[in-house]
Amino acid sequence: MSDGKKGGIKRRDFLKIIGVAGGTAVVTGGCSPEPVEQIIPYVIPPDDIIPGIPKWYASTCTECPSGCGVLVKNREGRAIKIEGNPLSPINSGSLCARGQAALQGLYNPDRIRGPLSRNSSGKLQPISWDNAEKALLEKIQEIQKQGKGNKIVFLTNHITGSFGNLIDKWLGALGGGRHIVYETFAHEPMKEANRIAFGTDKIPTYHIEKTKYLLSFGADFLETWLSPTEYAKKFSHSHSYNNKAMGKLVQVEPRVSLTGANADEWVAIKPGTEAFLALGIANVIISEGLVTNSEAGKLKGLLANYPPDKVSSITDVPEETIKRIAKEFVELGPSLAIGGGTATTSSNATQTLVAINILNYLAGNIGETVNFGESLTISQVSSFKEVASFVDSMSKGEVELLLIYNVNPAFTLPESLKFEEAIKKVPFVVSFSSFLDETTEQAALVLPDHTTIERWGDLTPREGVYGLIQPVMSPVFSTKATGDVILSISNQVDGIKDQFTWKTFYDYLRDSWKNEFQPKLAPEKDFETFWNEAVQGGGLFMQVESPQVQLSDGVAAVQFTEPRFQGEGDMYFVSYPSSRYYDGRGANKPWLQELPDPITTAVWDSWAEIHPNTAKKLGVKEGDFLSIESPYGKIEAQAFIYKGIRPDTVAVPLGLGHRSYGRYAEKRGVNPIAILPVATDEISGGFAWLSTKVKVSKTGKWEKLVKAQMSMSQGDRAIAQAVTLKEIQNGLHGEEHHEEPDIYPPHKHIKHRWGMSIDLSKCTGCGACVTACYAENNVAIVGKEQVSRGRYMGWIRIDRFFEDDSEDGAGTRFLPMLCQHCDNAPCEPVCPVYATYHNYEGLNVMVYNRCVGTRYCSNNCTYKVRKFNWFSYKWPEPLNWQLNPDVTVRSVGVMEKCTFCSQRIIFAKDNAKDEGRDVRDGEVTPACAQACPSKAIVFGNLMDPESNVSRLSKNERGYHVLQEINTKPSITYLKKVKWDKA
Amino acid sequence: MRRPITILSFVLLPILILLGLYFYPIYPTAESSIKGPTQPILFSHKIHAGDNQIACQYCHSYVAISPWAGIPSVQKCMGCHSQVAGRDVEYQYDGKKINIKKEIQKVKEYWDKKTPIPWVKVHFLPQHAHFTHKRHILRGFECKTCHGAVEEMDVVQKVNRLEMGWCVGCHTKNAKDEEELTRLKDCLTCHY
Repeated sequence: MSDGKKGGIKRRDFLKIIGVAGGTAVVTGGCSPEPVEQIIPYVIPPDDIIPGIPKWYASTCTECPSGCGVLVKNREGRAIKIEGNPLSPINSGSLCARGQAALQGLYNPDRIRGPLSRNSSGKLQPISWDNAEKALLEKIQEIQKQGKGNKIVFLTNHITGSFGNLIDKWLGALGGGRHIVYETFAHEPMKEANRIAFGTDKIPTYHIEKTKYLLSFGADFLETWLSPTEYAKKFSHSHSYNNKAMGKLVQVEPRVSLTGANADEWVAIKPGTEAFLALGIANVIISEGLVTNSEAGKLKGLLANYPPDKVSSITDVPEETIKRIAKEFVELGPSLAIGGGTATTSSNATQTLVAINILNYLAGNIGETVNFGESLTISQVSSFKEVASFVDSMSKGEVELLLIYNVNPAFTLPESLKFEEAIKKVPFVVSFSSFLDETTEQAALVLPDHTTIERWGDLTPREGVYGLIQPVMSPVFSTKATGDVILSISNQVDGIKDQFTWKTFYDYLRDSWKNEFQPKLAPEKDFETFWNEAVQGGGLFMQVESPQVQLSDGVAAVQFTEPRFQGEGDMYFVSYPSSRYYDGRGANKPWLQELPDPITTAVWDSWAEIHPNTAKKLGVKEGDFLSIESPYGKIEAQAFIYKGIRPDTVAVPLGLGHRSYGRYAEKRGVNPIAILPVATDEISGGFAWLSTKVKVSKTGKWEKLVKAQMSMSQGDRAIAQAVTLKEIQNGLHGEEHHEEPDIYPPHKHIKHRWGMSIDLSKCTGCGACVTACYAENNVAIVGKEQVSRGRYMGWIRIDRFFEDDSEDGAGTRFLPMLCQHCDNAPCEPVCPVYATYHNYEGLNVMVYNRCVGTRYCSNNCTYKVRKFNWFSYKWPEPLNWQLNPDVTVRSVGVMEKCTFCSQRIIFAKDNAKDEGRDVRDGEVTPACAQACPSKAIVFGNLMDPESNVSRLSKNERGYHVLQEINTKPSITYLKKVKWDKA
Repeated sequence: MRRPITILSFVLLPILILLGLYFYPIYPTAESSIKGPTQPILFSHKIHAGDNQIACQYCHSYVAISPWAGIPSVQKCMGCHSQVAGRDVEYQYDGKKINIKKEIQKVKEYWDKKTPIPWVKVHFLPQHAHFTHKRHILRGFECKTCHGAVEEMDVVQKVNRLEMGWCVGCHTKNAKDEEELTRLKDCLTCHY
């Protein structure tokens, strides 16, 4: 070609030059210099650390009041993972996302690193522990001299057991100060309703696992209600399809929560009128003679006032529905009615729970599915009345010294209570918090406590569960156990010295177990054995029988009233506890911020849920900022348009909107508590979250609502499949998929082909698996900006699909999506450098150091489970201490994805080899399957026909996602089973 | 006629070569063998493992139970050296004359100050690779297979470059059968 001669480069010449350049590159890459590195030996080796071998320590989780048992994995002296303790009867080995994220509290870069004191210019400045303790000691001596010991207030979260006792004893010795135990969600109406109905002010444990028909009035038992991990496990037991049967869940609430999304039926009740529905159902049960309860006569008079037609007009629930539920409640038993969430947070909360108690009593559930023996200790926390009166006494200047432990009332109390103004009137405020939260910002002295992972302690979440907390590693920062601080100060205060002879809190703890628990629980053992067994097992666990309770006559005297709402607006305002942040304490943990909300899949921000019709009326689309105005203030949040909410209701999650709480929490989202009045439940005095009607308007501002999943529906693709109960009872057929013929011979596997089954009738979409995967596999946090660009890194995600034909959010399908480890993987043949391939055990392996980042594999992946590192993501010191040393930390330009936790497979094979045997079924459990509260995920060897996973893979409900593409995945999903439409 | 390719060869090639040289590390290749690094204490493996026949596992005690062999704690050093103060004699250590007693004295100083001895690492596992000592030892390999005759070295030095080709060579040679060869050559054996 003439052109080639004149200019440009001929192909042959071009290749020559490239050849040289390529050669240079090889020489360069061939031998990079090795760094000079030191190996630092121990001076004295600790007995229980073998470098390279993990050790597990049992302890108790304190992220919420449920008190799950945990096992903390320690490698070379650092805690690197938290899992559930299989011995604990509460969580039986599983753990929710919040519990797992306790590690990011421990290693949080914004933790207070040592004691702080406010200097003359009003700033908190580091001081030494000696000086810090001296400052507190002097204050206490001064108060003692003035005889104002009764003006000390110790404000703590729900701490049971030894530490709580020590505080009480200490306050008593100092002259009778007050110990206020403040929990944001104190369940006071429940306590009061049980007192009225049964004469016991206890909060029972509910045996959801024995229940075939669960009628939940707003109780979000899969997210935050009482003990979510425990109830998720129990719910899965009762509700998953088994032996041609399954339980039914009917959720009554104005806004579909995650629990509601798992329900078989959603009853979109008018907010706050649940009591009437319960009474209406009870009315039908009695008037139609569905039960022959000897005591029903007691109730006849009361219930006669609530015929279905009247109830229907109060509650917006159709008459037929009321009648049907009444019938089902009795016939599909054992049944259970529970109340929580929105149903029990308005001005008539206690009445609602009394009505629910009546229902349970009529159906004979008390003692069967309601166990007052295993009662929860959360019933012992201070009432909202006490908290409010304490705030009042602060503002009157009646508090001389305020000590704050592990609570953040400046964030969790409504602004209208004026906590922050009141605390300014207290001459001396001491905080023991680990973080500079809104309350600690007000303190004059900060004496940071260890986190739960670094200290001794105990926790009794309910009768029969006595959990122990042991330090799993030495403290990360210069912190000191608050128990130790109290003892070391007491040792120097005249007059009380003799009562506090313990050197450390550990001594005190042992003593109280010796004097309190051992005589009660195991008097026959010697103490050392008893103690060591307790520490090793994470506490002591036993069953408590349910005592018999009778319906008291007081029930008939209860007046049932309609809820009261403040404000002129036309929309009910629902603020609900977040499944990720609880009352806001989780907001400083990046794992939780980046864990997509199960319903909206939004990350790193707040939103306001509204119904499509409301959106149309307001002219609002998703992402539009809404202004929500109550008489007490205004907040702005982005709209999320959702069928699962009543058109007259707007809902905003709690937990975000922190002014200070570290880099991950600050200036992010809104705090709906800010616009709530100080309204209470009429009977119990508990705080009424559902008490406001708001004005909702469009602000005109729009931003993309950042979500991990953009689509709401699966369209016509059968990704998350379901069958109805009748269909499966009649036998599934006609859906067999014919194997496509292959040109290539099948893969040869040696001994193992690792596979997984995921039961969609068990998965609740909670997201515990996602956080477990982040913790195990060093998955990077990318932040809101990157998520909005579709660069979310999670190796496992929960795909959430709303049912297209359904008018509501109930029956939402959740599908955990992770690498399918296809036998015929589309990603493999397109990799130009053989960085991903199928190995001899059926794993789709990703070799990071081969990967050059073409991203062809991701483009070709049917399931979009491959994630590309657009940056080398950073873990700010000391968050990086948590990294799992058994898993490579990936850097920029590399593709990554689920490995089926290959490091765990290797570990198990290594163990098996030591013992000269094969890997047993169930011995390898990936992090996701381990954490799952409902045990939806089962992992194992598909070549072993006897293995659990093999059997499940052949289940009649089994299918592969998008199997028409013939990728031959190793993951078999079991179809969700739905109740047939009534 | 000046063809563009000529310009390219004269301009681009030298640039590429220079770049290559710039990035080429000043580091010896292959088995030309490097001197081991200078350690904070002139410790002789020859005296310990050779002359006194102390078993490797006495000090590297985790080798059969952990991925990592482990290095002895200062306490372990003192376990012997609280009794063995060393002779006050000169010793030819890697071409240098050293006094044994003085070197042992240094161990005691670290112990008295309760500070660890900052040993300099000799054997580097390349990045992105996992290795377990335990499996190799339990299979019956001797330490010297990889680390060389340490008992003859005053200063420990690398005799094998711990690179993939070398690893795979050994894995290939030692596989008992086709199945084991597949397993031992699988990327996931080391890379995860």
